[in-house]
Amino acid sequence: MTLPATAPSVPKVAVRDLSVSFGRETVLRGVSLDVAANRILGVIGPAGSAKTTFLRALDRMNELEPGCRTEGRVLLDGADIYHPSCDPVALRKRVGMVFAMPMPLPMSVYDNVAYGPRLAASRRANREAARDLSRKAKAELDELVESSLRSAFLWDEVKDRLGSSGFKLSGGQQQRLCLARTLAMRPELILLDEPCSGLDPVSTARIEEALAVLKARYTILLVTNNTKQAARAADDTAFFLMGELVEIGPTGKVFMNPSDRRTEDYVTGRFG
Amino acid sequence: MNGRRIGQRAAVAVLGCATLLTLAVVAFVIGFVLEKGLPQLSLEFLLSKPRNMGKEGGILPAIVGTLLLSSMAIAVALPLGVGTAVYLAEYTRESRFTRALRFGTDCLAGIPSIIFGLFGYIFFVTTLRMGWSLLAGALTLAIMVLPTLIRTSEEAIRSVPRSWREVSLSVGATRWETVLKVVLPSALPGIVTGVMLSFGRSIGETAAVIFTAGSSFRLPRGGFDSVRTMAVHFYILAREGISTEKAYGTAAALVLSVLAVNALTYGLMHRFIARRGR
Repeated sequence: MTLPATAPSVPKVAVRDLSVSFGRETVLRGVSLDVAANRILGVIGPAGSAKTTFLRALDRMNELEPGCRTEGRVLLDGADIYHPSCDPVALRKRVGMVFAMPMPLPMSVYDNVAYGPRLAASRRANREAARDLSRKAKAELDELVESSLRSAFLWDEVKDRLGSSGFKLSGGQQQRLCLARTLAMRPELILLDEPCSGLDPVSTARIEEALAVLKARYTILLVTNNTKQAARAADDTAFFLMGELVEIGPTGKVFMNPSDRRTEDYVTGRFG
Repeated sequence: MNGRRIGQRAAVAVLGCATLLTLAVVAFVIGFVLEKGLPQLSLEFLLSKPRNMGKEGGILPAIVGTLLLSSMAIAVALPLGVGTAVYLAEYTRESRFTRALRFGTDCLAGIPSIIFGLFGYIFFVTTLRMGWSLLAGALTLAIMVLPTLIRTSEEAIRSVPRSWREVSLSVGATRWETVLKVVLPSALPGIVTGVMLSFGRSIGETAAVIFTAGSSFRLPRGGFDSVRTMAVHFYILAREGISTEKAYGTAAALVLSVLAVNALTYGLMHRFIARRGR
């Protein structure tokens, strides 16, 4: 956290020559970039520019699709997540993801947030030990759920109905619930895939507010179709076009003084 | 425009008539059985053993036999059926193998039950020397209802939104944990429908049961005892002209037990769903 904002020494994420193809179609081509710790990287570009594929490559979600092939390297704290020794299940605990559509699981608000931690705990401890610790663990879990919901700016709105279904919340609340569910895993890296695409401006503002606070503790990638959102929320911005990275730099520079003509056309709204 | 409205009305009328007709047939059948059978029902009839080949007395052993046989069949078929469905839906990609398997189950579902009875008789009763018994009958019924269970469960599992699986995986769940915590609970209503269909089929089954579980009057004391189900009892009473009244009484008890089992299953399912806070 003492890193100077302008010259981060070791990048949190280093992507090298990353290509992703589905079947015969190469969707993402030769992307290399660094993401500095405790900053928000906005990823912008028109539909079909492989922003989501890029994001999903960072927690190995692409490989759930049949026929997906990934080449290149993605270094998280210097270790390649595509190395055969890297377990994708363990990786996904370090890298959280919030999807485009608010997607609560069919369970209560509390259980939604506690879902990941409970799984992790049940794997860690054997049952007997778990029973001994159960009271303490319950209190810890309560605390974790509360702090996650607070960090997602949702606690005050749901604290009296933790037991009711996640589906009963409004769209904006559901998306913050999904953010809380991700935060409860205490990930190092948070990937947000157009988290506000289905939300109204007020809900969007609340999410952005949360992100601004969260970047002190996390590294965040924010894919967005809304260039204004990137301009508001992101420290750095990467512009993708048709599966390639066109430009990456501090948000102010990308928006005010882009080095590539295509970036300029896009951010000024000439296409996209 | 007028023509379109007339067409619209005609369609509604035809569909409405079809629904009414279906309901009427169902109501008539159930009403007929209950009208003839209910007067025969009494605590004594339900709780005593048959005497004089079933001409007198009650049907307690048949009730016990039916419920035991069907429950055992479901107990065997449910894990196999749901397991197969999970495997097909979650762990394999569509291929020649899965298509062949699905084709096979569909064929199995279309085979007349008497063939299953014959198979059960040759394999379980004779070859494995189980004799006419609860066990042989239950295993035969389990094979018979397996296709239904597999197909309904698979449909139910496939209808669980893909995105829920992704969410679960994205917070570090394994595939198996995702199946256990998200997919199966959400698919439960569909699976329960399959269980109820299967239960109904086994309760009402006659041909496959006569060949494999026999038709003993006695209360079963273990898995290798022969039992007589209500359906078989009804069949014998009616066919051999032993007692029409007792046959209707048995039929009414059979219909009511199917209703009771279905109501119970639905009740349990709704309680489960409510507890999850949906």
